[in-house]
This record gives sequence, structure tokens and C-alpha cells, in this order.
Amino acid sequence: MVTIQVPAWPRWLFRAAITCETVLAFAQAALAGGFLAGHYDFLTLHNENGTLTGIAGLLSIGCAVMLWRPGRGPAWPIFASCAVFVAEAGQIFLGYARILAVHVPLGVAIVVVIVGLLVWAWREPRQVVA
Amino acid sequence: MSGLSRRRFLALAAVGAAGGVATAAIGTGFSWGRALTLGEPGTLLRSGLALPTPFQVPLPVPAVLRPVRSDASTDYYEITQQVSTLEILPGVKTQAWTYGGTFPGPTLVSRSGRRTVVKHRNELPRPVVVHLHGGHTPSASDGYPGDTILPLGTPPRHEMMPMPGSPSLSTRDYTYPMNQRATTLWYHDHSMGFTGPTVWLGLAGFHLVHDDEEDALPLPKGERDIPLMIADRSFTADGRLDYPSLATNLSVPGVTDEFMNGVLGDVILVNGAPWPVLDVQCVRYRFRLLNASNCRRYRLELDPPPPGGGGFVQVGSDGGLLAAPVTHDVIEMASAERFDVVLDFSRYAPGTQVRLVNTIGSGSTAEVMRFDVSPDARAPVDDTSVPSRLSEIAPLDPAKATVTREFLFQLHDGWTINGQPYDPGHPLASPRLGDTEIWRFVSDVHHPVHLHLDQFQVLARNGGAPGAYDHGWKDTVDLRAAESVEIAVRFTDYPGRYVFHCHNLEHEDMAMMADFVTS
Repeated sequence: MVTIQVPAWPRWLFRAAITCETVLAFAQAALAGGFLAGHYDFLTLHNENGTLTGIAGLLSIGCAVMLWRPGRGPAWPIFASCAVFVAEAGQIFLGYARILAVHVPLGVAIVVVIVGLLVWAWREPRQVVA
Repeated sequence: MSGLSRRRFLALAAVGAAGGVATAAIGTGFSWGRALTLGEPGTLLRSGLALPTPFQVPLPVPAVLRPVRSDASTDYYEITQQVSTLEILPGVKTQAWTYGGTFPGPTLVSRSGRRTVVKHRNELPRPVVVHLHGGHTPSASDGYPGDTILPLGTPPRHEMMPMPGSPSLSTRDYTYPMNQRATTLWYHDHSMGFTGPTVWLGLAGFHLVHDDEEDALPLPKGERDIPLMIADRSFTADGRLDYPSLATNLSVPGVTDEFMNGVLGDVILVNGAPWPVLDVQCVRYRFRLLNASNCRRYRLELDPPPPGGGGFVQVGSDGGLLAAPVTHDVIEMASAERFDVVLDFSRYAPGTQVRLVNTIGSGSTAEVMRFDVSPDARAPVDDTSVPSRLSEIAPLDPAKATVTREFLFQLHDGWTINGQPYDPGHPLASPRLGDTEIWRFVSDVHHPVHLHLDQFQVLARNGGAPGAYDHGWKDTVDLRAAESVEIAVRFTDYPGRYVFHCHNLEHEDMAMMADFVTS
């Protein structure tokens, strides 16, 4: 059994990306809540922040790829990030279409998956074993 | 740098970066703390001139209009709608659109059961529609948006869509049977897509209904029964009434994007005067509060409150007398709502200055008016009182409802009801006359919902008991953000086409309205 040193930066990059995405996703919930508290302008902010969350989701896919190679991490975060991004794109459609009975639970599901990725990313300091 | 501290540093950097992204996402000047407060509708339009000092002018009371003639069954009135030059702010000339040359328009006073006919002549530069708000009125006289009075000598404009309805040229007779109980009604413009600007420019007035039941009560009467029309406005530097229309000549409906959620003025007018003063004796007064603002909500309080509190004794709502008086420290009112209240100034020391304040507002809009209690300690004899029973209100029985209808008031490419912008001629409900119905309203942001034709009773708010301001018969119910309200309503007497809509006038103009047809 040989332990090989792999670069640490892909892991940090993925951590940063997934952390950004988590903050933005939580902000989405807060901005929706602000609108429902009667702040009209929060809906526009929710729209704009939704676009940014999607962009962060796209960046997370890229970082997940780098986590895999050259980071020698597992491949499944790539698929998880892709699934989250597809869900985020769907959220934008569902939000504009006001299909809120799907929009809200899907938002919850996105946050659950992102937080799972976040916890995994920050709890995964182990060296990759070849 | 040790591995641990470097990791911590990188973690903090990542969180910092995320925070930076989140902050950039929502722009500058944004405060998360605001999300924790309750929002209010509207965007403030600042006046271009120096605002007058509050409490400099006496409270005007609109003149009562005399009928041009009367016969055995009917009183006939005439009102000319015209552009008039008024002095709303001291020393400033303002062109207003008026009913008969004043703002507010003249007060009409009807007797329950006695027909009132009002001939409106339109000398304004665009079509108008008159709606008697709260009136139990036949369809042809209710002010359906398509039933316009076209101005004489101007070609009919192309409205934004072909409207059902029957326009008339120059004049129109509105017939009000007045088969309804005593209450405070108001009349205002209801032009399709232009109600916001036309009401803002001055088209609003009181229409009171009296009856024997009300007369028999020992409530304050005559000069101590005063209607108060509260409305906010803004003025340009040259004294015009400012309004952020898409087209200043009112050829295109709607306001600029910034004002989609309503237009707020920075001058609070009561009966057309900025922050006026009323000299009062140490006795009871009855005030008929009307919020005639386009979208502004008020939280009215007395400052100072009378010793022991409970300064507002509410005796009536939109639809007339309550069953029993309700005491409030605070009255929250949305656009078009009325609160009929008795204030007892004998509870104050002579000489007290009592401000009517708006605790939702800030700066100039935190003040409304002032009551200066007479310094003369010898109080006049006050033979008025507020009896513990005012009237009988038979509750509408929801168990007998034939149908339950649901209406969602929501922003969805403009303001919509059940996802649809106003589509004249395509009713969202067709109630049968005489049936009790349950209507449920759900809101995203604030929406004061108004039904034409009949008054209703609030059954529930957010699934629980009705709120503090839901008592009695109502024609407008204030839905705050993300609320649900359930009402019972029975449409009676008059078959035909009516509308219900949000009474935030900018929401109404930008399509938050729907037809209903009774038969």
C-alpha cells in the first residue's frame, strides 16, 4: 500500500464553491420569506439571486470535476453537482411559472443535497489512498 | 503557518468569499434586517417643493351638495367633472381634476330607501367612470370600467383593449336606489387602467347614507359628525400633482416599474388639506375615517392617547353600524376602508393638542392631523353617548353556503387574480342572486380586496378568528402579505356585470381585477 501525495487545491476549490452555493441557496429562502413579509423588491432580488445560485451550481460542477482529476477524489460529486444544477434550472422555470407547490419543496431538496455536499466536502480531509 | 491554522484560514476565506458573493448578489444598500420587518406596499414619490409645516391650516369639511330638484321618490343631483385650480398647499396653485371644483368633491347625503340620481358631466380631457364605493347599485350605474362618460368634442380614444360596456357621450345618469343601511360611502373614478392617476388628481368624494336606526342613536351628530378623507399626494416643484405615469397625457395605462407596488406621496392630506388642525370642544365627536390613498396603509394612533387608552371607539365599518362598539388604541386601515369612530375629548385636559399619527409612516408621513382641545374648562353639555348595542347584524351562515370560491392575488407578469390579468367580459365567478357564498382570498404581498354590489362578513383570517379590523359589514378587506381571508357574501337584487379587485390602485390599474356576473 502506497500513499501518494495529491494536490490540496482542488479540495479547497470545491469547498469554496459548495460553500458559496450553500450561502446563496439559503439566501434564496430568506429572500422569498422577505417577499412574503410584504417586501415587494425582495422578489426581484430572489430572481437575481436565483440566477447567481445557478451560476454557483455551474462552478461547483467544474470544481467537482477538478476534485476528481487532478484531485483524485471520487467521481460522484460531479453527478451530484450536475443533479443540483438541473434542479436549479428547473427552479427558475417553476418560479417564473408560479408552480409554487413544486418550487418550494424542490428548493428544500436542493438545500438538503447542497448541505450534504458541504458537510462531506469539509469532513473529507483524508489523503486519497491508491 | 501550521496545517490547522491554514485550514482555518482557508475555511474563513471560503466563507468570506461566499458572503461576498451573496452580498454582491443582492446589490448595495440592502439590509438583511429589513427581511425581519413587515413590508408595506408602495414606493415613495418625493415632492419637488419644500413641504409645508404641519398643523398650519384648519380642517376643511367638504360642502354637502344640494339636489337640483326632488320629487316624491327621488333626489336629483348634478356634478361636473372639471379641471380646477386649487390651493392645496398654502400659497401654491395646483391644477386638480375635480368633482364640481373641489377636492374632495362635494359630499352627497342620501336617505336609505330614497332614490338618488346623480348626473355626471365630463369636462375632463379623457373618459371617466364613476363608482359609488360600497353602494348596493344596479349594474348599469355601478361604474363598470367599460361604462365610460366620453368627453364632448374629443374623439373616443383607443383603449388598451376592446371593452364590453356602453359608453355615453358627455353625461351619464347614475341611479342609486339606496336600498341599504346607513353608512359612509365614497365615490371615485374607476377608469379602466387609469384609476390610480385620476383619483390621485382629485376624483374622490364622500357619499353618506342615513337611516332611522342611526338617527335614533345618541351618537354625535351635525357639526360633530365629520368625514375625514385621508390621502397622500406628492407635488412637483411647480405645484402640480406628481404621478409616475408611463405617459403624462394618460394615453398609456400604468406606472414606471419602480412604482409597480403602488405610489406613495409625502404629503398627508385630510379632506384635501395638508396635516390640518381641528379645534374641538371637550365632548364626543364622530369621525368617519376613509383611507382614499392609492396604496398607503395607515396605523393610526392618538398622541397622546387619552388616560386609560382606548381612544378610538369604533361604531361602524365599511357597511355601516357595528352590532356593538369596539374599542381600539390603534386602527390599521388599507386603501378604501372606512372606520366610523367616536373620540371623546372630555377625556383630555382642556388645551391638550392631540395628534393623529401614523406609526407606519416616517418623517412627514408619520403625522396626519391634530385636534386642539379647547382651553375653555367649562365643557359644553354633551348629551351624546355610545350605547353598548348599536344595531343588529344577522350573521351570514357559512353552513348554508352553496359554493366556495378561491381567489389568489399574486404578482405574475403583472398583478393577477388566479394567475389572470383583468380580462373584461370573462367573469371569474357567476354567483346566483340570493345565495350565500364563501369566497377565499390568498395574497402574496398586501392586497386590499374590494367587492362591488354587496357588503360581506369576514369569517376567518389565516384559518383563525377574524382580525381586529374585520368587524361588521365590509366591502374591502385588507390582506396583509401571505395571508388568507375567508368571507361570506350574499349578492342580492341586481343581475348583471360587476367587478372585484385589489384596491391598491396601481395593482388595480395593472390588471388585478376580475368580472363577476350575477343572475
